[in-house]
Amino acid sequence: MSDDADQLLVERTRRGDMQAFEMLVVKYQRRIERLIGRFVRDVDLVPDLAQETFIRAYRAIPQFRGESAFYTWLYRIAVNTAKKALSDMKRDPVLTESALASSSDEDDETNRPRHELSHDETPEALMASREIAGTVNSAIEALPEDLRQAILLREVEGLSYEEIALAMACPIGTVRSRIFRAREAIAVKLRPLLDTKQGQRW
Amino acid sequence: MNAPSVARHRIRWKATVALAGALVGPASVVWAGNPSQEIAAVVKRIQDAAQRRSFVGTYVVSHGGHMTSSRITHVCDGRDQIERIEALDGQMRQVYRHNDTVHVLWPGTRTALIEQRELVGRFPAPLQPGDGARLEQYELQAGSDERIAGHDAQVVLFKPRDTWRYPRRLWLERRTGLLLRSDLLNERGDVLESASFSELQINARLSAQPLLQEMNRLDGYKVSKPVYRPTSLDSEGWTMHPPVAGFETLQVVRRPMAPWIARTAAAGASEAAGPADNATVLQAVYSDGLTHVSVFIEPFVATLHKREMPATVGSTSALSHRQGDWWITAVGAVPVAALQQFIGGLERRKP
Amino acid sequence: MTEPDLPEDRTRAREQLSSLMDGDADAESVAQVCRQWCQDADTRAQWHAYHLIGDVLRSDDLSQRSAGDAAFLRGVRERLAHEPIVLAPAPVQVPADVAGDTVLVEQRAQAGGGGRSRFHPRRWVAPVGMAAGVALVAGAVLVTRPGNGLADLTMASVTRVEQTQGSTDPKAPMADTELVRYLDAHQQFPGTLALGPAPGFLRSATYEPTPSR
Repeated sequence: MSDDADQLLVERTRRGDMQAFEMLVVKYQRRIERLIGRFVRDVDLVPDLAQETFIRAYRAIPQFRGESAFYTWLYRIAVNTAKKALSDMKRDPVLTESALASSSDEDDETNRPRHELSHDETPEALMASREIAGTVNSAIEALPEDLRQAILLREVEGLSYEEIALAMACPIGTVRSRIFRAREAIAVKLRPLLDTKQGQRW
Repeated sequence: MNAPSVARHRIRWKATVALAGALVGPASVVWAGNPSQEIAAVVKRIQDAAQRRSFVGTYVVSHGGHMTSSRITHVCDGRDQIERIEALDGQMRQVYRHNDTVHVLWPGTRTALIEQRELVGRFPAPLQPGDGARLEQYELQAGSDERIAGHDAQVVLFKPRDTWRYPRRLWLERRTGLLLRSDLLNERGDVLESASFSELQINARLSAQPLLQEMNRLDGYKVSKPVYRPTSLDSEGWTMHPPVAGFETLQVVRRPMAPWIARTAAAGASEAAGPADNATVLQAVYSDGLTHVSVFIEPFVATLHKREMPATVGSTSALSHRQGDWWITAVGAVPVAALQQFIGGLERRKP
Repeated sequence: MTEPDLPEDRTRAREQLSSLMDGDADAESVAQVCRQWCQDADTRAQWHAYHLIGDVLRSDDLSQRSAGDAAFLRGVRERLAHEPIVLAPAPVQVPADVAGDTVLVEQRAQAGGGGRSRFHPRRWVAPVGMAAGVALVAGAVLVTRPGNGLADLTMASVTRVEQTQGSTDPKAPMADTELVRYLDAHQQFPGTLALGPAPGFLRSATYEPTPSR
């Protein structure tokens, strides 16, 4: 979906630009944490393993030559990191049962999480997440039609700017501008929510 | 701009000015407004830290997909410096240095090398006169603070004033000025080579005795002691003109080439023809204060000297050229065009 | 739609981020954003916000994890501080008429090459064999680009290499031992004014011939 953007940033990382790698971290952090959360239950372990995933990806980046999309490659590293952590845990009798997810080996990303509370499912966290989801959804609804269509075609359908230009019968420059304005309009409503959160100092 | 961002800009500007002062360390004088002296002061701070501090760490050099690691132990014992560098990959190798004496040991092949090394800026002598001038080719730019190997670091950029040399970004440990990391960049800002501690203990409690004993344990080793004879281009029948801007002659020696790296059949060496492995070569070394270029001059041998195309390994490039009966090779962590200038400036004087 | 009192350069910077997210950017603007990333909190915050929006649009349950995102990055950054920098081999450009199994398809959207970068299939195969003009140095591959002496020769790395047989081809590249000898002799001198932990320690370090282990 974002092959082009990822490739530009991966290429810079391979030339020694750490900032480009950090941009990839911010982009994929949530997805990787969610993925690892399907394997490992422990509240403190998920962010740690997610960080570990990114460090391993960084070390292996010279060997990544674009045979697959960057996220596909990163996904596999995340799965391996989680599985390795699980097998390490099984060998260590000190760790508690609750740290282990159920023994099924699924790495299907669309799988729904289990019912026990995981690290973001405390009542406060759930409310915060519903707030964010709710804000984004209502902001989308409030957008003018052309902006909403543009951003949904890009983010949900994964179309490129050229494809969107064709679909909406407008120049690419207009596509670029609409998507940006849509993002800004939603971000404006999100900012108060994000700024008040602890640790959210960029 | 609204008030907060103006204030932010002012603070950032102040920080840059203060940084230049901070970089030279508490014990030094800040020369206001003389850029080459500021660079010289930064370089001196780095050198002093490397000489006066005891430290141990893992050092990694990487370029284009290739990485080498070493374990470095450095002990400053009064007026003595002892260090050991152990290769962590590749052939087993230890380099020991006690002040100006260097022992290189290859335990795998039980061969060793002993040589004397004249060091610039030897503790506690100050920078030699004229060193400040040689750094005129660079300007100093301060960067943001970062963390390297778990230490807080100040980042500086030595930006060249011309295209005959490369920019260099340095990370100095905040308190001591020890060089934590050094990146060589090309003109586009891409990193050509990065040398960095990945882990470092400063002021570690280390003793010199065990290292000194190790370096002298040479029983059963085949020891070579290459001799480097100082000379001059002039007396050897050569002139270099014009010299590449900013580079001054550091040393000219007549020397054997690394005898422990035997020429292979692939190189075209054979029993019958070609110079012996211990034949000497004329080497002229030029420095601009931050980087150096070597120019090697030897008799041309067709079976050995085939390639005039440049080679680049990480930061360093090499370029060879046949000039009549002679084979000239220029080597340095500089753009290939600079190497061409050096080669082009070399002329055989009429006998 | 955007914040009314936002300065124009800030709006442009954010729009640049938005385009970059979608791959609609050239190498120079990517470089610029990366340079800003360190210094500019707004760049980091908006990159985060725009991506959060995309994640939430695709799947509600990704909104859960936004609380500690900035702290997460700081954690990764701290761990990266202990990692040596990794550098990938520079892409090798070989002209079409070179014989042998040398293939390069990678396009560098670089060096003032203008225009936006688009997705190109990226396959390159490290050329092997003397026909393509290759020598081996210490686990890395030197590849020559045939041409005049100004040709730039860069390294492509191969994980495990064997010493190739030499050839008597006069155009063959410098055998690795020759290069190593020059590099070693060159690095004996502390030209970088003893910068770094030990002057001249690199000699025989990075450039040893492939050892017979």
